Amino acid sequence: MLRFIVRRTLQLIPTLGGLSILLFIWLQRLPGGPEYALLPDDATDAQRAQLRRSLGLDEPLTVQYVRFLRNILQGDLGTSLQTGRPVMEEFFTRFPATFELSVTAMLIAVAVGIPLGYLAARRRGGILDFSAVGGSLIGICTPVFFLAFILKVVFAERLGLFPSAFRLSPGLSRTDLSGFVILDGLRTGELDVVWDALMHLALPGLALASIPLAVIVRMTRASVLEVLDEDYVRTANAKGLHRRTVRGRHVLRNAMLPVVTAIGLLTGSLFAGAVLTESVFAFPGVGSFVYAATQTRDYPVLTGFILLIATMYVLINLLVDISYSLLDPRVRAQ
Amino acid sequence: MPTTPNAQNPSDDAGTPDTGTTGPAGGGTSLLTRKADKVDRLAELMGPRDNGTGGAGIWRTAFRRLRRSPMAISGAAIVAVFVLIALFAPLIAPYSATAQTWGGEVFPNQNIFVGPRAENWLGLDNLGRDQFSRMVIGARQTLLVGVVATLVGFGVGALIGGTAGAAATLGGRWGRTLDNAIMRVIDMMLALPTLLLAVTVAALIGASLTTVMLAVGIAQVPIFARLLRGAMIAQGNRDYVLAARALGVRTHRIALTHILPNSLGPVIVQSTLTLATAIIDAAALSYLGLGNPDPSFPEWGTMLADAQRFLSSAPQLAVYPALGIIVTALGFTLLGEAMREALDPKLRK
Amino acid sequence: MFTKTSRKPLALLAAAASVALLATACAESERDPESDAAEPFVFAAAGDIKSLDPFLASDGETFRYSRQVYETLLEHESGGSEIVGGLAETWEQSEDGTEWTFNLRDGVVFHDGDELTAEVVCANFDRWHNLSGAWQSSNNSYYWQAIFGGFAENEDEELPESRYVSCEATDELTAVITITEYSSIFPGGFSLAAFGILSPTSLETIADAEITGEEGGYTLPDYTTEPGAIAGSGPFTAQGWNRDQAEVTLQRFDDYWGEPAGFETMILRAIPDETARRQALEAGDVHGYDLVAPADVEPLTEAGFQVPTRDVFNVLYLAFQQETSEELGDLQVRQALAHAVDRQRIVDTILPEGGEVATQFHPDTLDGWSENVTTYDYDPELAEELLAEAGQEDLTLDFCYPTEVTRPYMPAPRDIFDVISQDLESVGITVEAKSYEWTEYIPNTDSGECSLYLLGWTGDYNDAYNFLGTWFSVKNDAWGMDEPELFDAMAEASGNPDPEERIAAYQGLNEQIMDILPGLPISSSPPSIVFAENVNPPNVSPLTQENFAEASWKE
Repeated sequence: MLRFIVRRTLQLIPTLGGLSILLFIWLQRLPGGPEYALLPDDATDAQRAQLRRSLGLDEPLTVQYVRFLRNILQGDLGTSLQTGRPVMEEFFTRFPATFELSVTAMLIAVAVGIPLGYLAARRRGGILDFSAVGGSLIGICTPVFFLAFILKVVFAERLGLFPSAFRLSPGLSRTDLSGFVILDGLRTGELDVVWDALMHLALPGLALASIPLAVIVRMTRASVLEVLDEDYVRTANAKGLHRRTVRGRHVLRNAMLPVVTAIGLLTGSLFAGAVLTESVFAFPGVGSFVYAATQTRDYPVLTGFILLIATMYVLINLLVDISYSLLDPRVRAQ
Repeated sequence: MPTTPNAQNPSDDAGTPDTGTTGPAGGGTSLLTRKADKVDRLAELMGPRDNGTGGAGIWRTAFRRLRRSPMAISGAAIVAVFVLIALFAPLIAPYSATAQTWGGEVFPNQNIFVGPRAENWLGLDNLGRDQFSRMVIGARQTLLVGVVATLVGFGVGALIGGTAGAAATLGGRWGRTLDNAIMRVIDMMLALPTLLLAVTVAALIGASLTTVMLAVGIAQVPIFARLLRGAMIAQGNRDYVLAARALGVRTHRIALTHILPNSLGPVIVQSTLTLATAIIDAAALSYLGLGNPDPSFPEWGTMLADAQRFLSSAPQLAVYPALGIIVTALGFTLLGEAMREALDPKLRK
Repeated sequence: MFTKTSRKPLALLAAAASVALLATACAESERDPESDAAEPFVFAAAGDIKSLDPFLASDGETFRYSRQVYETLLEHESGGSEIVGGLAETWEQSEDGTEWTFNLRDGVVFHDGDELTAEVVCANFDRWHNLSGAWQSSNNSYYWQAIFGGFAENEDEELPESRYVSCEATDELTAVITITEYSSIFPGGFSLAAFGILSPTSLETIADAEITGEEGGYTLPDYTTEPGAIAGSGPFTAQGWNRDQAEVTLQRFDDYWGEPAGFETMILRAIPDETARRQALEAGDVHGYDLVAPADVEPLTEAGFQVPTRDVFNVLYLAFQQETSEELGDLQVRQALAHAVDRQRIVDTILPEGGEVATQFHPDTLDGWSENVTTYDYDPELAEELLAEAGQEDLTLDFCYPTEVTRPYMPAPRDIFDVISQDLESVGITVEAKSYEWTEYIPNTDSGECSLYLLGWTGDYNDAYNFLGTWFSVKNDAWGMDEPELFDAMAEASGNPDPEERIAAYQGLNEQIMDILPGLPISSSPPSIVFAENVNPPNVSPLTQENFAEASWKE
């Protein structure tokens, strides 16, 4: 097991190395440059050229890449051109927001999706099944940004149930320990902060949850259907085991394996979906920052953030694999 | 793509513990194969089969099943209507979709919009153009985007995946190395946030309809590549390939005439699903301002993104294209899913 | 292990589900519509600020914040565009315009208790003048370079000589700033928010602050992110900057020399998306925001929000690049294009109330505007005739517009583009649409990639050269126009220290420019700002330089 983990972790290095070279070449080939985003519209060509020089962007790509590598070995991902602060600092200022949003979305998707998928499978062909499958198909087919807008118009503007933007109410005082609002609130006992944060998470969380929810419903349903038909379930039923035991012990657990895989995958891809959701809800997270960085051509932020996100993606999937092998003896045996 | 992480393969029936060769943990072959495993399941469906009815048989039975599936029928009906509208759009549209004929009647800055009326069935858009004509002509653009993007993903993906698959099955040790190298690159593509991929593609070649098609298509490449490779490897292990090799048929002939045609089934199913994804993703790109630079030319994604601004004063402007996108994507998804179910013995009980 | 624990995850799931459902179901709005005096005023800006020290910034969002906290020697009158005294009560210029004497206000106290003296003003200017290293990057001292050129010791050869000579404190409250030669950027330059005066104690604490790192990795000093590190003299103090929420908190400064601020606390929050800003206001999450989309003005007014109209201080134009398309080098073709565009319709249907058709390249609120310029009325038939005379019946032109931005002078660029290109097509011109995002749009238009493009400018200060000089002082690729006479006249007008002669010269220039017709001025439109019903809004400023100290809650 340990060897497996070590090997998988080591494989990160070539992947990230390749990715960083690709990114470097790709980003620099983009038309326009930070000198156009950072300076006002009336800046002269000389001023823009000077800025490029002072940012070291006039040097050959190889020189820049070597400098980047040297810095990264010292744990330094560079400095944001937009804000003049270290990329690491920028990332960890914004990561908690995206993390809380993604986890909320995932919790909603799992908490609603698995029971719904299970029930749909149990009552195959019934009304519940039909609406669950139909609803999840529609969920997949609705553009996220449109869904987010509808949610906002209905629940924030018309009904006034939830705030329409931000992560916390403006001016709310709280003790900042780690940047994770909910965790901090629970630790310091500031329950009003926790409540405020949950309220702000509700709509963006729901919007971001739509696709994972749809996927999980359908996966759970398919997976449960498959397992229900397995010999061991039939055997268990025939043995006269209590129905609840059969369902819990045999059906659900086995049906959960592919669902767990999907959850890992979906969590990774949530980061991408977060870009749109965050911008619609003015939710100050990694996604909207990266999007702004593509517009200002903030190369260090783009490179650094993407490498960090890719690393997390890989690590999440490693975790999934580990939990998988713990769940499934056949995989362990490999 | 941003809106639809993993919607490429919505019903993730894959990766069940007993899929053997490319099992769940992938034997730890790669860090990033996770996303790909789902695709592999589809690929395998065309592989070794106990009842061994052969390719044509599978298709025939599948088609019989499709005809009885309400999912397939409704999907096919939606798709048929959509394609018909798209094909005959210029004949159906009563007015020009680009002329601001009633430009003097709409004042977005004073909150004056024109709703449905006798001569304009769906009312006017924010610049005084006939909304119904725009929807109809827009269907054509939308279909074009979907089809071309899928073709791009399919074409490039098939080329890469086909090479890898052929190399893996027929190329001996060098082939396996080549296959390995190609797949690592594909894995890297899977690790890149697809939104960024699309945004950068768009930035690199400038915003245009072509950009959207390319960007959406390229994001699908790894899926198709993986799919075709998986299917080819599954085929490559079958007896007829062994027989052909024993008869001394040249390897590239085996790859092209035997393995490839027999592996295309899952790819076609995936294409149907991708069409839906492509339409939705194109809308997301338009929302980010990377769509067709000529705003007068109607395309549903652009129309939706553009009308978002008027959601509180003239919601119908956003609702029509949104419904168009949702229903069409739904049609393709239903059809694709039904085809997948019909082909998969596990799902069709 | 398996069998016994198998139900626990399920139970957990169920618990999580019920919590999630609870959170969604019993979500009652706790917001109180009643406002008491201590309630913070929340204003949504389009972006986060860049630095707490305005000197490092060149963007409007930072300046919106810094104008509340730091004051400049001169400023624009509240709600208008005339230059009036700020920290300096009065000022004089020498005949040749190289010596500027500022008579400072008495009794101005900084947030840290220091007092304003002429020496403090000079210490600020001397600090800026003597900055070195990465401070000299155009990104970190943009406006210093724009107004004063270079530094005491230029480290980059390309930097121009410094225009700043010295600052002398001739007595306690009189500062004399000497510059090498007059330019029309004075006195307007002294009103720029980047030149906010810091307290002497602040100057001491930041004297050693450096921009660290090597090329490509400059890190701004910590004081730029630590609220309270530098003190100004404005009506508000910077209380907090939550970078993770993109939120700046300002607190009323009780010892302010003027009228104290109406709000005890004011919060600036970033909402980049235009529609999201409106929705936040409608949902009651914010009490005001800037850059209202024109289409939202009417619905917001009907819903009871206050949308005071600003005076216009910008211009939007359609540029005719004369080299990229040779056809545009022909005056007749340019005149045809000018007659083909229905600018009135843009103003009537797209721009917010208060917008007007522009007849020349700067708004009429600016001195130097001329009534006698040649005008080009909408007349498609005349346009077709002119095209026929010029032999250009099948003209094809590419036409660029920016995506994903709205500029104060250009709300809804896509719609404006759409109307113009429709107009051009209806007189028989084939338009090839090209769209770029802003970082690409500027280089493309600057280098002459586009034959036709939309661009504009919002004035920084009240001088026509700030508009005309930006475009027409030398031959450049943005216009591809070669008119040496015009360029010479422009230089002469700009260097004339006599205000009245200068204004007369500007009027002549405007007339000359509209005869040459390098582009078609489209419109001047007021960028809209909106406030909640229970707010007494500040005087809205044509330069978008609102002083939020004037605003308060309604009783």
